[in-house]
Parts: sequence; C-alpha cells; structure tokens
Amino acid sequence: MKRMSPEAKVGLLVLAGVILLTYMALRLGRVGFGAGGGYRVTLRLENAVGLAREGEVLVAGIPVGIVEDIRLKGGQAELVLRLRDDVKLPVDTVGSLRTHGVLGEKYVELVPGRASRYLKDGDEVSPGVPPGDLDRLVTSLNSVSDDVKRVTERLANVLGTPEGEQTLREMIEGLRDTAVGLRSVIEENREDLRQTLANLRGLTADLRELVAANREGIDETVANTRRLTRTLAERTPAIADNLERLTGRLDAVVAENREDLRASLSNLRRATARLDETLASIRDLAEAAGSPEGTLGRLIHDDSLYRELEGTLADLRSVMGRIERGEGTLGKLMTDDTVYSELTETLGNLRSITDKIDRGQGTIGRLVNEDSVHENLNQTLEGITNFVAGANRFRLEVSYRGEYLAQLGESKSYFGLTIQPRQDRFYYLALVDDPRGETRTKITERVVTDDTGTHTIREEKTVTDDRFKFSAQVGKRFSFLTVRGGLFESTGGVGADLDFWSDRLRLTLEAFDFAREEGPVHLKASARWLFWKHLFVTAGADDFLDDRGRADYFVGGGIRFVDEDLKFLLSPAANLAR
Amino acid sequence: MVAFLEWFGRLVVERIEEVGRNALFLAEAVRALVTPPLRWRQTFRQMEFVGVRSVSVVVLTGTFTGMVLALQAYYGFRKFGAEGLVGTTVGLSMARELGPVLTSLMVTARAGSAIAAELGTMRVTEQIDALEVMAVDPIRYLVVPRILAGLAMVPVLCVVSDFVGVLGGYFVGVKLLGINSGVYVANTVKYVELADVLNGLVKAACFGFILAVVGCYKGFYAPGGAQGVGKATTEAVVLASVLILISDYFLTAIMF
Amino acid sequence: MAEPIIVFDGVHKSFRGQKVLDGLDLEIPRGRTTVIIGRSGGGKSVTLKHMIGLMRPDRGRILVDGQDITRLEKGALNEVRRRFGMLFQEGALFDSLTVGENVAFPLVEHTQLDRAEIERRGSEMLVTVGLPGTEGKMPAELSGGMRKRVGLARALILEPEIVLFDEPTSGLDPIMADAIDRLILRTQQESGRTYVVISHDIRATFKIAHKIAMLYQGRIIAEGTPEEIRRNPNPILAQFLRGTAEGPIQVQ
Repeated sequence: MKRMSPEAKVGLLVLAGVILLTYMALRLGRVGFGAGGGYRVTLRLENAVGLAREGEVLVAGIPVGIVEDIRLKGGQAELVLRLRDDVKLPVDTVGSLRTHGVLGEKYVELVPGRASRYLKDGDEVSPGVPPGDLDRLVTSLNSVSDDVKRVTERLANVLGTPEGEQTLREMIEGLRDTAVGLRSVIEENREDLRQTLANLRGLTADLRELVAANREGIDETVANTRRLTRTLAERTPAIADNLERLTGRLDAVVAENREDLRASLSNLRRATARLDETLASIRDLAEAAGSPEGTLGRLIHDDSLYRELEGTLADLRSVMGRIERGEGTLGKLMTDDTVYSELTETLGNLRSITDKIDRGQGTIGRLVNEDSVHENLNQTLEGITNFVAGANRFRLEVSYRGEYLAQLGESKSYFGLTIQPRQDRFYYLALVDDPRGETRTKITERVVTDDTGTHTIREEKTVTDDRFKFSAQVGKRFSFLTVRGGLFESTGGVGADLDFWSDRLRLTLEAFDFAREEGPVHLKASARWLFWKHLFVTAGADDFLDDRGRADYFVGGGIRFVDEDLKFLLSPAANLAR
Repeated sequence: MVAFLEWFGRLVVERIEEVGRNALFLAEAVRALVTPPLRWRQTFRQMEFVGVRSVSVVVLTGTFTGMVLALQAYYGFRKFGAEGLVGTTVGLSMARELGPVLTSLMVTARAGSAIAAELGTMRVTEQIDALEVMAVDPIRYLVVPRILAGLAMVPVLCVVSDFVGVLGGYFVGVKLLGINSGVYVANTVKYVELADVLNGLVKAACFGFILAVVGCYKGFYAPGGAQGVGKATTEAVVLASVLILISDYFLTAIMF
Repeated sequence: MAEPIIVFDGVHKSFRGQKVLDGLDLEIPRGRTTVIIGRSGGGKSVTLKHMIGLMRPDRGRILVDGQDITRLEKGALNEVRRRFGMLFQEGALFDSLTVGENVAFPLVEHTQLDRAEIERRGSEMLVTVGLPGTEGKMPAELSGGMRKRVGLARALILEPEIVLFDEPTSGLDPIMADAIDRLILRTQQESGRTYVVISHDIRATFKIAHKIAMLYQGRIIAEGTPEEIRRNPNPILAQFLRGTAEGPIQVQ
C-alpha cells in the first residue's frame, strides 16, 4: 500500500484514542477486589468522624484494603475492613483512625502485633493509640505550662512587689481620672453595648460547648495513655526491650521532625504570648473601666481585696511550683503511672488558675457598676482565647468587600470575619467604613443636685458619627435559605440570603435601622456572584425606600478566604498534625 | 432623517435575517445529520483532515500545557509543602478543562479556519452552486461530514491531549523538579476520577460541533471575492473560539 | 417554432433595494441556442440562476415545460434540475477531485452504473471536448480554457435537455474563445439540445445563436434571430453591437 487511505488513518487515531482512554479508565477507576474477594475483619472505634466508605486501610503506609462498611454498634463506630487475601496480619494487630497530610483525608491504619497467629475472616481488631500522639500531647502540655509559668511570674511581678504596688497605685489614680468620662461614654452607648454583648453571649455559649468537647478529648487521650502504660507495665519482661526501641524511635522521630517540632513550639509560644497579651489587655481594660466615686478609697483601704489578690498569687505560685516539679517528666512518663495523675492535676490546676484569674478580674471588674457588662466581657475573652486554641474545628471566613455607591460617588467598605462553628450556624463580625456616617439625635438625661434641689437636665443634640460602624450577626442556614439577625452597621436588623449554584450566586435582603427618626426602615438588596473561590462581584440597591435622597445603588466586589490555608495559619498545632 | 430611518431599518432587518439564516442553517444541518443517507467517504476524508492532521499540534500544545501547569503548580504548592499534589493539579486541569478547551481551540485554529476557507472558496468559485445544479445537497455533501468529523475527532484528540499533558507534567514534576515519582502517580490516579475525563470528553464533543458548524456556516455564506474568504475565515476562528469559551462555562456549570 | 421550453413571466428580483430584474419576460425556444446579451452586471447571470432555481424571484413565474419552478420543494426542484446541465464562468470544478472524478461526478451521484462504465463514459466525454487523457490531472493544473472544457464535459455527461452557459468565452484568448464557440456549436448541432448562453461577446454570439435577446435594465429590449437583431433600429442595441461608449447607454 503506497498511501494510507483516510479511513485507515482515522481508524488508527481512533484506536489510539480508545487505547489511551481504556488505559486511563483502568488507572483512574477504583480497581480493587473482584466481587467478594479478600477477607473481612471488624474494628471498633470511639469515633470514626471523617472516614468514608471505600476509605483506605494502610499497613505501614501501604494500602492493603478498604473500609467496606461503617455502622453504629453500641454507641461506637464499627468498621468492616476488607483486606487483601495475601496480607497476613497477627491477631494482636491494632487499628486506629489517621489523617493523610495537610489536606486531611481520613484512613484506617493497622499496626501489626507480634503474635504468631494470624487474623482470619470475621475476627475483630482492637483499637489502638497510634504512636506519636502521646509525644505530641506531652510536648504541647510542657510548653503550655512553661508559658503559663512565665505569664504568672510576670503577673506576680506586676502585682506582688513594691513596684507592683506602685504600679497598682498609679493605675488606680489613672482610673479615677478616666472614670467620669468613661461613665458617660458607657451611659451613652449602653444600648449598643447591651445589644453587642447579648450577641456575644450567644457566641460564647457556642464556644463554651466546643471547649467542653475539647476537654473531654484531652481526658480521653490521657485515659488512653494510661491504658497504654498499664499494658506496658504488665509486660514487664519485655519492657526494657520495648523501652529501648521506643526511645530509639522517639529519637528518630524527634530528629526527623526537629524542624517541624521547633516550628510548632515557636507557634505554641507565640500562641501563649498572645495569651500574655490578652492578660495585658485585661489590665488595660481595668485601667479604662469607670467607677463611681469613692472606689479609689475602697480599693486602697479594703483589706479583703489585697488579701484576695495575695491569696491568688500564692495559689498561682504553688500551682507553678507543682507544674515545675511536674516538668521534665517525659522520661518518667514511660514507666510511672503517677505522671498521669500529675498531668491530670496539672490540667486541674490550669483550670483553677483561669478560674482565679477570672475571679481577680471580677474584683477589678466590680469597679464598674455594670456587673453584667463585665461578665460578658470575661466570657468573650475566654471565648476568644479558646477560639484561638480550637481554630481547627471551625470554618472561618475572612472577607473584604467594597461597594461603590453610584449616587454618592463614594465607596463603602466592609471588613468581616465569619465564624462557623457548625455547618448550619455562623457568626458574622464586621467593621464597616461608611462614607455617609450616621446621623442621629441623641438625648442625654442627667440628674444634677445643687443647693436649689435636684434637677433633671435633658440634653438633645444631633450628631453625625464617625464613619466606622460595626456589624455582629448570628445566622442560621436552612438549605439554600439563610436568615441572619443582630447588629447591622451598628443598628439592629435582620437579613436573609438565598444561595444558588453551590453558593456561587447569593441574593441578599437586609432590613435594619428600624428606629430611624426620619424615614422608613433601611432596606438593602444585593446580589453577589462568586466567580472564583476567593473573588466576587456584587451589585444592588441600598436604602431604596428612603425618600430623602439616600436611596442609592451600588456595584462592587471583594475578596474572601475560607480555605484550609487560613486555618492552617491560625492553628498553632497544625504543623504537628502531620 | 428618512434616510437614517431607512438605513436603520434595513440594518435591523439584516440582523434579524442573519439570525434566521443561522437558525435555518443549523436546523438543516442537524436534520441532515440525523437522517440518512450519510456520505461516508466525505466523512472519513474530513475525519482525517480534522483529526489525524491535528495530532501533532495537539500533542505539542498538550505536552507543553502539562509541563507549564506542573511548573506553576509546583511553585504554588511548594509554599505549603504539598508538592505531591502537582500531579493531581495537572491531571484534573487537563482532564476537566485544559484538555478539551485547548484541543478544540487548536483544532479551531487549524481545521475550523480551513473549513471556512475551503467552503468559502467553493462558494466564491460557484462550486457550491454547481453542486446544487447537479442536484446534490451541499449541506449533506459538505457540511454534515465536517460536523461529524468535529463531533467525533475532537474528543479523540482530547484524550490524546489529556494523556500527553499528564506525561508532560510528569516529566517536569518528576524528572526536572524532583517530586517523588510514586507520589506523583499515586496522587494523579487517586484524585482524578474517570468521570472527570469523561465529562471533559463530552465538552470536547460539544466544542467540536461548535467549531465545525461555525466554520461551515461562515464559509457557506462567505461574501464574494478572495477578501470575502479571508474575512469569513477570520470570523469563523474568532466566533468559534468565543463560543467555545462561553459554552465551556455553561457546560462546566451544568456538568460539574 | 415549437412551444418554448422555458418561459419567464414578469420576473422581478432586487438585491438590497437595487432592482436587477424588472418584470423580465423571455421565452427560450426548445432545441435551439439562445444567447442573452447585455452589459456586465446587467442581470444576465441572475437570469440564468433563476432558470435553474439557484435564485428565487421576488415576483413573477418561471415555467419549465409549463411547470412553475419558483414554488417547488427541494426534492421536486432537484428532479427538474436533473434535466439541466450548467457550465459556470470559471468552470466551478471541485478542487479536491481529479478531472476524471469531476466529469464523472454526476454519473456517480445519479446513476447506478458500475465503475468501469462510468470511467469509460468520462473518458469519452473528455475526448468530445478535446481533452483526451487528462483524467488524472487536478483542476489547479489546468488553464482557464481547459477548465471550461472540463466543466462543459461535466455539464453534458448526463445528456441533459437544457444546457446553460455562463459567459463561456470570457477571460480567454481569442483562439481559445473560438475553440469553445466551435465546441458549443458542434455539440448543439450533434444533440439538438436547448442551449442558453449568456455573453457579451458580440462576434461569438452571432456565430452560435439561433435567437438573441438583449437584456437592459432588467428587461428584454430586443429579441429575434441574428438577422432580425442586426436590422433592429433600437439605439441601445445598436450602440451595444457597435461596442462604443457614445450613445444612450451611459458609462458610469
């Protein structure tokens, strides 16, 4: 054949295409067992969160089977694992749930034991604690207690020494100066504050739930660890041998992960430094808090306050002593049960430290007449601290949004933070830079007593506030409908969002500022189009019921981050989680 | 004023006529496509032209796209220590998006323009009229084989492009950047699903249809003269490319 | 004279508001050669394309053997077209096919003949037009005159009743033009078919025509045998036949 016919050429190309496609299909399709191949074993876990059917089962990192079924049995997750016939595992093999890399796909890891009998079809594998988790816990705890010690030492320096007294005195003098002005500020903004705090209370309630869950987790880990060491102790003959191997492995692990460890530790240290800052800000807060007349005297002359402070510091010191003694127990940890009670104690102490700090804060807080204000602030701070620690569990969204108001010819900006502790629930906090500011009438009533009697002075003035407003909202999602309520640009309001096309298109209607003196309620309708994971454009009508020329339409766009990166950056333990 | 109205009115009428002509052409082409008889010889000729002769350019673009994807993805992922995901990125991008789109754009540039030029020349030199005079339906004889060729061959080329793209990515990722070859392959195989590839092929078929129909339409109604043919060719490439990119969005939105 | 084979009855056609045919009335006699003369761009080609249904008139009827082809469906129109052959201005050969394939194309499309017979008839027809042995060549290798002759071979191969010629001698040197004219004359005399030729070549027209019709501004302003045309006093016709720029026809 001197020349190939078109048919032959096309045939060759199609054949090549089909071969390539078949090859890809074979590589990409999940080729595993034939129907019913392999043998099945079961594994019971406390928690199988994130594990999916058809998930991988690995031994020493090598796939040996799949998770065939996941079911609930007696309050635990029972997994049915289908393993390849050619993989023989000893009967004392233990299994656990692990996470792949940073992007976190869950899989089941089996660690073979040393028994001479092998698992067969229908056997049960016992759950085990994967090595490495223990080190991680201890390392973290040590570092935390280090930092707590540093913090309390510094606290003691501030409060317990003559210099500290001097500082305190100066502080109180400063307080007195600011008290009067602050009181009026608080009175003026009482409504706003109360609303904010009510919202924040909702927020912290949720956060507290999470903290509780977290505590259980730690307790569980400790319990697990205790169980593990008990098993170790039972096998005394083998223990020396095991210990040697274990420490060898530990060394290797540490050597291998030295960089990561160092990074994690510095992260932890940074986290606690943040705690330090938090405490500093608590002090600043106290400085700034207002008090009624005569508080100065009470503060200086009231022995009970000093006693309380001293008691607190003594407690702290003793706690720190105990923590110090508890330190460096990494070695002991392997042999000694008491370490665990100490660890538990340490945790208890840590809790009592926070309680006491809370109480001490309460004392200073009483300087302000509004107890509830302070309690709320406390809860908020606690919530925020816990939030920083537990960022792993959250979905976070940081967003910036600019809207160009066409009539006004200026731009309005929103910088927002969305915290989503649960799938269907979120909190939205935002700082809003509004070029129009906010105009409203303020009425101040003041009771003045002078030699002619008691008068009520009523002041009325129209104020145009500065441009900055803030929003704090609670939202709940039902399928594609989301309802929100709370603060909208520093006023109360409600809003609804409709999400379509995997949340890429969002239609929003918001109603707020119901109490506007003149004009109807502020309505804002907009559409947002998320054309890329991080970027969106928006357009809509603002305040369109208004007939005083504030009605406007706008176009704009913004950027948002919700992805794993953000979490990764915020979560100090993320580096360790490899 | 009257002149203006007349001019404007004629403009509107012409636009509407154009739309109608589009629709009629498409309807006639589709009707001829689904009813026998089919001209097998012409179809194979066109398949050879659209498919076989585009292999080299598709292999070239596919390979380099895969390579550059690997390079770019590596740069980004290295910051997170996730170099292993380069393979996944290359595989997914090629299968879902770049394979179909780049292949069809290259075929548009190579074969779509040639279709428009060939039919345009046939129109200008009265060859299409000659067919009609000889009682041969030019739609069946000229248009249907080309549409079939686009419909059938662009997906085949897309498979080739996907494959060489992944190979190119592998070459850059593993051989030049030093990503572990096992990790690279494992991540590619693990996260790229067959459905990704198949949906990509559906896209490719749609694009093939678009580029062939646009090329035929523009050529079929080419205005007189060699200039007219040139204009038709350019318009065909631009229109087909734009339509491919627009329909790509909607197809993606529908399928994924 | 027998009943005319093609009748134009008040045919109007305009493009983009410009009138090309303005109530054209014309009869084409059966079995004769009719030459339509007129200026370039004066609607001659348009008239020809109407005869074979490539264009449809805005108004008016076109009868082929009494059947109005302006209202026919595609299928029925194709039936009518099988009775026609047409030689296009540039030949309109298919570039992708060889000369042999071009000539044989109508046979392949419309007959059930076997391959050998088709090839035989194709070669025969090429001999008739004076191009023996050129079957394997591609149209691009041929000169303009050769291409026209291949086009004529293709137009004649199905032995149609009516053959249309769109400017058969334009763009050719005088010798080649004469050769084509002779070919037309000879094939018409041999077969006795109806030929319709449009041309502005006066000399050729008088050589081949049985009937001449002058198309001017969308109408036939003069028709008749060559003798009648020569004697016709119409100044427009006279100017056209003389071939001068002076006269009632203004050159724009």
